[in-house]
This record gives sequence, structure tokens and C-alpha cells, in this order.
Amino acid sequence: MDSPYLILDYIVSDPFVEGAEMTLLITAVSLLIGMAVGLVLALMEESRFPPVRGVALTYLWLFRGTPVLFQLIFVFNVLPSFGVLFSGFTSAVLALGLNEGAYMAEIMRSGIQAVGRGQRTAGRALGLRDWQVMRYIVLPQAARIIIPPVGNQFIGMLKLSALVSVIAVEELLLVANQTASANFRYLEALSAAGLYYLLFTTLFMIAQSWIENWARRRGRRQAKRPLSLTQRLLGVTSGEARIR
Amino acid sequence: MKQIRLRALVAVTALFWCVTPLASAQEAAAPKDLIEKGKLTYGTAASFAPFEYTKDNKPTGFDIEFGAAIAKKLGLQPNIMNMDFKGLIPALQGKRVDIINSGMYINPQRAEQVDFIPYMKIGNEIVVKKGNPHKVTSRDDLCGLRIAVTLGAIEETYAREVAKNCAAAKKKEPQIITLPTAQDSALSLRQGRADALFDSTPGSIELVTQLPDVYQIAGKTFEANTQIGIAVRKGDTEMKQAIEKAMQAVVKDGTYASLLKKYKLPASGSLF
Repeated sequence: MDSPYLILDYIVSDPFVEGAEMTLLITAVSLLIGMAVGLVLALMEESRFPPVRGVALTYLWLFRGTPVLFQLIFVFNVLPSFGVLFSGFTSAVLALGLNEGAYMAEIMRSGIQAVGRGQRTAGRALGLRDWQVMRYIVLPQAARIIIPPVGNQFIGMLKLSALVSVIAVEELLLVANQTASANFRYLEALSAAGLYYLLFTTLFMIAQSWIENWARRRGRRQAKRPLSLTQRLLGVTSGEARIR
Repeated sequence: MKQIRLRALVAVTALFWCVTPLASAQEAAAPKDLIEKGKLTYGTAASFAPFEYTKDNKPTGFDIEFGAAIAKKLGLQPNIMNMDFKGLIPALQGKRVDIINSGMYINPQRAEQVDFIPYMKIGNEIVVKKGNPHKVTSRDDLCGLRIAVTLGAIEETYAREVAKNCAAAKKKEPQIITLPTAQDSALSLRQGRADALFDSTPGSIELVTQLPDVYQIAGKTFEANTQIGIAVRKGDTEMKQAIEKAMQAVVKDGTYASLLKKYKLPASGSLF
């Protein structure tokens, strides 16, 4: 069969569609785990207690200090000798999620720190407790700030999912390799997989710009309200409480 | 005085370079189109004992020593490129290696992509965990079980045939787990991620001898007449003839037979 038709044939074939679904599933679950772990770690890093900070920093050191592929193979091949036998899929999302958590932690921490100190002071001035300041004032603003780097991580995770082909999880790259090794049409099989990855990346990028626009409009709605003469005379012109 | 000493030095050097070629064991002309001049670059997946495997960080095995002997007959240095099995044929076609020397089984699909020079015939075995918990006596008993295989290797082809036969007999198809190396398959079986694996007869014997409490062979040898060969690019007659000549020389001087004995391969597998 001609190359282009074979590529299209592969793209709509069952194994490739199922492989694509598995890739998306691994990406989504790993990211959820990563963001949950990242948030916990970021808050731990900001804690007042040194032991809590120490635990967080050790986690970051371990998971950023070794390659993802190493962690993947470790979870899959080494843990069983300690009596812990996870399936291929579980090993994949566990390793990818925990690794992602380390990187998400740093992103979230930078987002939290980017929210001006004045915001926290204003919050405390209003009588809110520390955890309420974090929950109602700091985190919502930090969430908007970190949308671009988190979007980056989303797209990166989509590609990292290809690594799990070495632990026999039937995702897109493994399906492409199996198809190619059966009839040696490497160009067509790998092109089909490549097109799927490009498609998903494009969708992610579009979704990211939508979310950024929504967040920007939301922020603007809350800030810009019509000011009365009294407010302007008294100099209370900004929409945010700011103490100089 | 200096003039005489200089001339003597030149004469000795010239003599040395004339004598050395005569002293080498080169018996066949080296092909001209080599990836790296003076070296026979070959691809191998060094995870298939006893044909190619790593010991003390060096590749060793029947194919490795056979390859070295063939290279010597051609007056070349062997240059080993160790890679995943599934990458061997693309590497050959992409001109990253001159030949494939990796105990590659000859089958019709591969014969369409590359030309083979056969040098041995071997059979295959089913390996299961010690105690044979699933009571496997032949390939027909593998329906519904999990088979670990190397991606792209002949074992994968055999496993998919088993799946087809199970489907035709209306039984549950086996789950085929494709892994990068034969070591991964053996580890999967040991950990309980797979119920059986396929391996060559010599490889299975090696596995069972090394770890008799973990593995055992189930059933009888199957596909006992499969040939393995060195692969060259399709249409590369110059390389094919050079390797064939060198191979004949290696067989003639007894190296082939002594290697068979060294790696405990059956003499009945010899094609010469």
C-alpha cells in the first residue's frame, strides 16, 4: 500500500486508537497525581517548621535528581523484590505522577511567591487567619499566574508518557513499534504515532490559551468597577487594597 | 654515520610493512563499502545468551566470537554496536551497521527486508516458573495465559501465532507482553507478571542451568529446524560474498566447531 494511505489506515486502526486512548489516560492520571503532590509539597516548603521543609526538600532532591526513565524502571523492576508488585499501568502513573509532583511543586511555589506581600497583609488586616489568607486570597491569584508553566508541563507529560513503552504498557509508541516490527513499515507506523502526538499537543495548546483568556477576563471583571466621585476625590482609585 | 643509520631505519621499516600483511590471517577480500574503514561494524542485541550477552561489562557469546573470527578472516577489526533487537533491521537499512550478527532467525518476512547467510539451526522452548503452576505441556496450553516476549523477535511472531490458534479454537487469547530485551522477559516471568516465555533451546537450557529453582522448560522443543543467519542489506552481494567466504574459512579451520563446543550448542545444529 502507498505510504500516505497506509499512514491514514494506521491512524484509524483499532490498536492505534486504543493506544492513543491509553496515552491520554496515562497523561491525565499522572498530571492529577502530580498536581496534588505538587500542591502539598509547595505548601510544605513554605511551612514554618524546619522538619516539614526538610522532608519536602528531600523529596525534590530525590525525584529531580534521577531520570524519569530510571524511576519508571525502578518502580516496575526493583519494587517487586521488596514484595510490591504494581501492574504496568500503575507503575507508570505512579512514577510519572511522583516525578511530576517535584516539578509542579516548584512551579506552584513560584506562583505563590509571585502574589504580592501586600495581598497577605491586606488579608490579615481584614481579620482572616493564615490558612484562610492562603485559601481565599493567595492560591486563586497564584493559580492564574502559573497557567503557562503548568500548560507546559501538560504538554511535556504527553511526551513523557511515551517512556512507558519500555514497561510494556500498550500506549501509542509501543503500538507503533509493534506494528512496525511486524511488517517493517517503520516510516508509516511511526508517522501515524507522531501525528497523534502532534494532534494532542495542538489541542492542549488551544485549551491552554482558552483557560488563560478566561482567567484574564475573570480577573479584569473583579478589578474594574465604575468609581464614584467620592471615591475619586478620596483617592481610593485602585480596585485592589494596596498598602504602600 | 647518521646517513647510514637513517637509511637502515627506513629499510627496516619498509621491510616490516611488507611482511606484516603476509603474517595476518586475512583470507578473503574485505568489502569496500564499510561504515568505518578497517572495521566490520555489526549490530547485535547483547541480551540473548549464549549467542550474545554481556559479562563483566563486555559483550561475549557465540555470535560475538564468531563475528570476531569472521572479521579477522577479512582483515578487519570487529566493531560491536549493542542495541535493542527491534532496532537492528532499521539500523542495517539505515546504513548504521554493515551486518547484523545477533542470532537472527530467518523467516519470510525478514527475508523480504534483508539477505541472510545462515550458519546454524536451533529449536525453541517454552520456559515457565519452577513447578509449572499452569501445567503447560505444549503451545496449545498457553491460551488465556500471559506470554512475555522480546519486541520484534521471533518469539513475538510465535506468540502471535499461538494467539491466532487460540482464537481459531474459540479459546481465550493469550496476553502478549512485549519487552525490550530477553532479560526483561525472564524478569517478568520471575516476578509473576507473565506465565511463560519463549526462548531458543540453548538459551532456555542456559536459563534453567543458571537458576534451576526459578525456571523450568515445559513441553517439547518446537520449530526445531529454524535457521539463524547473519543479515546483510538486500542486494549487497559484495558484502554477502565476503562474509560467506570468511565464514567458510572459519568453519574450515575448526573455529566454528570449537565455538559450538565452548558454548554448549548441539553439534547437530551445524549447517556445514
